[in-house]
Amino acid sequence: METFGFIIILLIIAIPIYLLKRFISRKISQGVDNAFNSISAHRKNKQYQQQGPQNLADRFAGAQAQQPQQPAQQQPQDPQNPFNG
Amino acid sequence: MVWIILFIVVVMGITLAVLLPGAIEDGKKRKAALASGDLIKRNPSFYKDKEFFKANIQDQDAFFNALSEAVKRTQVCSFSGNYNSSVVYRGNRGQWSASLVRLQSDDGSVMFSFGLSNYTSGGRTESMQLARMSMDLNFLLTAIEKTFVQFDPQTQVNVQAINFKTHY
Repeated sequence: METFGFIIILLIIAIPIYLLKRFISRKISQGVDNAFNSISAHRKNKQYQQQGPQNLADRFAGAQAQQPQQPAQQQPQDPQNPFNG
Repeated sequence: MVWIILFIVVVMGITLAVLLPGAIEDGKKRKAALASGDLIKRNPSFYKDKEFFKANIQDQDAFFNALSEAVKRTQVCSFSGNYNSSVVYRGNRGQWSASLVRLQSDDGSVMFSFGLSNYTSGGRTESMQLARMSMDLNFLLTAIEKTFVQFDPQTQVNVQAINFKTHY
């Protein structure tokens, strides 16, 4: 009976600690993921803005010839609609 | 002790026997599709980008029909919605969805944005799930791009990185 009571008390203490640990660990992991993704997206967008619009047909021509595409010089101004402006 | 090792070996063997044929089949399918032009070799993280298409298309109904047919032929997703506003594609394998959204344009051209909207992964086969999603999304994107080029060879494309958020 005493052992049973001991196990119950142990579970009452252990379960909230485990759940709290899991919650904190996930929140940290989520924060790190989002921060890294945000930095990466920002860096890539700078590069894409420099490249500007490209001719879509070049992708297929490039895939066939295995040659890199030449970036255009035109720069978009509105991030939501890169063709306007 | 011997039984434990034997058990682990058997479990690993069963896992490999289940997963390996699928991976080999995907590899063959990818190779054939690259050769036939149904797939384009892309950056491994292309699914983190959003594409903006701008095309001059006279017969828009024919274009939308061709787009639907091209997407159906890929057999990688089901879709719902209207090409005059937005269409949502849901992957047949794995939990992913992508959307093609029609944008306003001032000069009468047809403008769309395409990107992955949602992707759920997890478990021990996460990298395999990601590879499958990536391949299926590539099939879908290639079909959409080919249709654009077919109707307007001068279609312009612009790329933006998506700022994804992770949720547990």
